[in-house]
Amino acid sequence: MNTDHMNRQELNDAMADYLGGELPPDQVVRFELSLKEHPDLASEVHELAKALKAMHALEPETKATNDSKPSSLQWGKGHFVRLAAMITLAFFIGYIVRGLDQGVNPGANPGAPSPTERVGEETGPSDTPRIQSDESFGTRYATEFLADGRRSGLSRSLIAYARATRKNSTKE
Amino acid sequence: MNTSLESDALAIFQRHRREVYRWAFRVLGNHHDTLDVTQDVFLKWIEKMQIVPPVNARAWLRTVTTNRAIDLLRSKKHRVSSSHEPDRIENQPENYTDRQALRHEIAHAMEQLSEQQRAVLIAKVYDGMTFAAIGEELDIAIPTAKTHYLRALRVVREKISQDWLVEGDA
Repeated sequence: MNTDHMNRQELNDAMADYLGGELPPDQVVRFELSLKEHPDLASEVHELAKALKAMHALEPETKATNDSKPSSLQWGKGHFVRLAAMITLAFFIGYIVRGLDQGVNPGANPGAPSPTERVGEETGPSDTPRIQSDESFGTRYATEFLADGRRSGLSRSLIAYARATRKNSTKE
Repeated sequence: MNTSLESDALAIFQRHRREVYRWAFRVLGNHHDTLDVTQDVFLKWIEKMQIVPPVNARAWLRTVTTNRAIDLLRSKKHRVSSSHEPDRIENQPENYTDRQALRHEIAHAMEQLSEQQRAVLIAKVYDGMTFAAIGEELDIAIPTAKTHYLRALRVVREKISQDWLVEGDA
């Protein structure tokens, strides 16, 4: 590696390469060391580097110019969060529907016993596997959700679905 | 325009349309105006193809796009419209405003440059091309490309206010 200091002319010649990122690494060291002996040139390089940085500050940051990237890189955090939320929701709905299929129908009669009690009455002693199943998280969640959820459109849909399911299972 | 020429014009433009968008967006900073410029450049490109097809399509497109974008930016009052800014950062409206102000200053500086200086600066700073590649594309010697680059940078440095100048990493 050549460690001799660059003279003023060499520094001037190398300035564009240095600012343009085309100076080889060993020459960068030599350039920077040599620059210390020429404060006026050092100051100019410093100022031009700041101008360059200001121009780079306008680099596009979003989708506007990201279309040249592979599509996999465009899958940001938001996509994964949405996907995870959808999967979780699907599992909850699955739980609810499963619980409802087993006899939960709180919306039919507001004065009726709680769904768990009703299921108990219909299906026998509380130590049977069916009852244990009805007392599972899914059923409890469904009960609370439906008791709470009459206010929301989503819950109304689920209640309607539950009633339909209930009727079908009763017919069978 | 005959079909062959038309399909050639379309094929070349499609090959470079993302770059055209990017060049314009860097000057303008908003999607809507960038699309306008991209469309204008495409129309000019078709006209040009009918007369004398440029030797280097990319260099021609870069020059015309940058010029058109600077013209558009300068023709507008410094306006900070919020309806369609793809680079807007949530909860940081002042960030967008600052960036647009900086864009105006850089556009103003670009206006002071010659066509070649501007082309070299854009190719080097925004496209990351080497001086050798720039020289080849613009048909100029490498030392000339370096000289244009430094002169252009000096003008930009002079024209943009101190507020935007932060410590560089070069």
